[in-house]
Amino acid sequence: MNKMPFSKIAVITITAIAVFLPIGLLCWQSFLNAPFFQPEKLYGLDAYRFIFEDPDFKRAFLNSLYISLGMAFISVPLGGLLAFLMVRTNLPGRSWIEPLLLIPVFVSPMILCFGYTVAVGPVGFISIWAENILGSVPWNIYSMVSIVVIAGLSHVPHVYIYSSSALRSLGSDVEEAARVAGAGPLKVAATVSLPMVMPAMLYSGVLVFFLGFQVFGLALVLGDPEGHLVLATYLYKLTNKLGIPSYHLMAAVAMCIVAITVPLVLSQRFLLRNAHKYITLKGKGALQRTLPLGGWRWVAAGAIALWLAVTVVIPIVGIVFRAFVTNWGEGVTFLEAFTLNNFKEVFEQRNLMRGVINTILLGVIGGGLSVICFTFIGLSSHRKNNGWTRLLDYTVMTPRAVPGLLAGLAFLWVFLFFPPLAPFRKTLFSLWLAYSVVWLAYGMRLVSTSLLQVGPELEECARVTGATPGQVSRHVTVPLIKYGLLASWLMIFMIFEREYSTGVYLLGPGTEVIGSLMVSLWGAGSIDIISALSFINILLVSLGMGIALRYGVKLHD
Amino acid sequence: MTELTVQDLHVTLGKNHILKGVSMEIKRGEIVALLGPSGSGKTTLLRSIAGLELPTQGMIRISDQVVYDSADKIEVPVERRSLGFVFQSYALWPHRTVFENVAYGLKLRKVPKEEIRERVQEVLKNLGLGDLGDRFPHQLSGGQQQRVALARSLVYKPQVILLDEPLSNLDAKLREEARIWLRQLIIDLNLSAVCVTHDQAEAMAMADKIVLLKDGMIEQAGTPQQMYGAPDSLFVAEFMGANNTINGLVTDVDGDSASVKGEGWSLRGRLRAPLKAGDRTTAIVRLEKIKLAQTPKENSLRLPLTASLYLGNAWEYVFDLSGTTIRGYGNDFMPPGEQLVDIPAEHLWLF
Ligand SMILES: Nc1ncnc2c1ncn2[C@@H]1O[C@H](COP(=O)(O)OP(=O)(O)O)[C@@H](O)[C@H]1O
Ligand SMILES: [Mg+2]
Repeated sequence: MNKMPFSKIAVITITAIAVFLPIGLLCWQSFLNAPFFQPEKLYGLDAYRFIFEDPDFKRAFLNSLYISLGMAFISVPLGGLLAFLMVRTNLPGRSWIEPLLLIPVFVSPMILCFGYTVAVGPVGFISIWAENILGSVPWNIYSMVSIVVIAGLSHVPHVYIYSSSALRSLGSDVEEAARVAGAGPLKVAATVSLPMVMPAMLYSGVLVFFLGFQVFGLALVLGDPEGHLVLATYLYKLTNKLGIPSYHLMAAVAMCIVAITVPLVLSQRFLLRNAHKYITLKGKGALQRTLPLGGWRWVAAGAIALWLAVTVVIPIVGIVFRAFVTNWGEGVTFLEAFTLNNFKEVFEQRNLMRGVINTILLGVIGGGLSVICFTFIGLSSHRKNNGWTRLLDYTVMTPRAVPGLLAGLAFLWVFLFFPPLAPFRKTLFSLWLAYSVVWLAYGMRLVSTSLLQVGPELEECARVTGATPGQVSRHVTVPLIKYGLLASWLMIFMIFEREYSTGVYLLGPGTEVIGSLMVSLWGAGSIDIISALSFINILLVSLGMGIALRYGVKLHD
Repeated sequence: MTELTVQDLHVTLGKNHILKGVSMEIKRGEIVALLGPSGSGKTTLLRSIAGLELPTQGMIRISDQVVYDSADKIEVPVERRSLGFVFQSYALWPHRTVFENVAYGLKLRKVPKEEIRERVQEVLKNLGLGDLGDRFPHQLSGGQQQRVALARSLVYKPQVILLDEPLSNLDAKLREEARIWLRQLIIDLNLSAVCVTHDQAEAMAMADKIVLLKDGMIEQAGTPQQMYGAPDSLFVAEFMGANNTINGLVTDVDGDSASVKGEGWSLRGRLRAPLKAGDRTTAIVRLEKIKLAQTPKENSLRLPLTASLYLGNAWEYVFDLSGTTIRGYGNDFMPPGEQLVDIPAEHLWLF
């Protein structure tokens, strides 16, 4: 029963190559003193020596650390509280708050930050309005503190997702049992409920902490004006700094980021294993009673509304507004400034238009292909447990530790380095491959969640009836998870629409996508076009969310 | 002719040694019940025969094909063993109609479309599912689902059919009808069947032969009469029926009969284990063997009746034998008080 057919071994091997080859190339390059494709190169630690001596690198590292810590301290308590309010209390309007909460997960942070710039930046709509009333703008969106706070607030949903599912799986019965045993409500929260969701909180704490080290778009947009660098933006600016593409330095910075995130990802795995301890202990689950908040429910609703206003409404309204005006400033009214020229420009410029079309193609067709690949990968380890599946486990987990920016860089090099792949470099295939690898862990989670819901007897029964393992997959397993796969396609579509950093280094004629175009346009300061592109991108993501809501696709578990 | 042979089968799941050397044989047309308490390894044995678990040692032969042999490194994949298997949960494919569920095995065997239609219709009709072909599994009752699962495993005419607690999901009344019906069906089709159950009454009603498993080993195998009427061990005696259990001391042994004594009583019984005078013993007697006596006999005791319970078809008497509860059946209500109770010596088994 446990023999691995050749086809499954092949799938696992290909996946492992797709993941480890680019990272291996980065690692190798970081120990060279010249680009890897040049004949004359020496091994050495020059690259590391250079960056460790660079004061900018040190500042970038510290800034990344502040952001990570800030994110953990802001988003974990708020996310946990939000989950508690949403799952366990009679907060008003829970059903329509839920999808709004997830907007920061599905809308690119680049867009949100553009939104902040145009809304609450020094000459933003809201800033001007505040200045008129107060005499001056009481905030500085470009300061390090603002960056940390915005990063923290926009990662609250990540914590919410994990804490709320932990809270949902915790039945009221365990709490009621504690009540019956004589514990008061506070005692119950402190001694039963909290310890049981603790693993999930810790898990999401580690998650936001390493996401902090991967922050790119946010720091690029908000950190630029005052020169706050983080690790990813330091890497991105290295080329400008030295004037020449310095492969070994970029690789060395990339390895530093990976060296920080890999242990965190591994520790998450350990935490998850510990968390399973509680799953066997969980009560009947389904039955949950909500805690009446009394008058406090309006206070709670107000706090959530405020958070939504700051993290979702202000930036999105800002950027959408900006997409329809020529310029903004003192004394300009909306009607005077209203224009559709920004969109006209997008549709007229060939590369922008290609970017829009590519983004859609990549999301719809590429997303579909990715789900097909993820399904094959999922099937290759389905109901198996051996050395190969463990290899696959680690393979799938690894891309989580690699920010999209680095993955894009690594794939660019792979396409440069291997001549047979070179023709694909300037096609969407290169982007699709990089996207699929970057989102491998996410996609595999979606697919394996569906796979795990198939009862093992349904497959075994087909075997006994005379089906080969391949026939079982085709006739039983895949048809049974059909709807799960369609839902995964939708989720991958949204994620691919949102993605911006993976395409940055792969950007070229033919491989433009909205996300990477925005990064490069930001350098040129074309906020008009960026706003229009952002609006189009928001529309695409909203389309995905609309379909998800319409057909009851769960946006998180 | 032997249809299924299992020899010295060992199975390890995870780190647990589940089956520890199981051997059994099933002849053509025979129905064997695999009986045992929960966790004794019945399902594991059935799954190993089907090839769903990989044994570590032993041999399995179906008809004249060796499907597993640890010595010769033979392991025929599940799909080529051509067995029928009915899962405890029925495992009907929810995305297929009843017809498609049943037809799947024939389709895999590349049977022509027309013939598939005929054969599926026929088996559905035989099982009383004639007009349910277009329904989906979730539109069926438990009993109907069970018959679809059966139809699905019968349609490609396997020689041996394996059933894992096929009746356990039916409610009590339906279950008693179903076991008669199922036995008749297997006999009519001249199949060999292994049927897992944890209910000894069901095993006796359905099977020609019972194999009783305990902790992954066969405790005893034999006809229902042997198993019920001549158990080899205390475990079998207790598992196969409802008993009175009396602890005592063997006083003298005479061939296969012996005297046993306790506080204020003495009885004769049959030795079912090698005991000698002075040994402690557990004496077992089936409830239905306890009778009220009119006149004192060799093995009658005068015992206080503590309660009479009405069961509908009989009365159950509860006696007290110096602290041990003795139960028996009778037709009439008896008021509490001293009664003369007969415990036939040939039915009092000493272990
Ligand atoms: N996959 C498994 N891994 C480890 N132990 C198992 C597994 N499946 C079953 N067992 C153990 O094997 C024993 C026998 O199980 P099973 O054959 O299902 O018993 P039965 O069907 O007689 O109730 C049980 O103690 C069970 O806990
Ligand atoms: Mg079982």
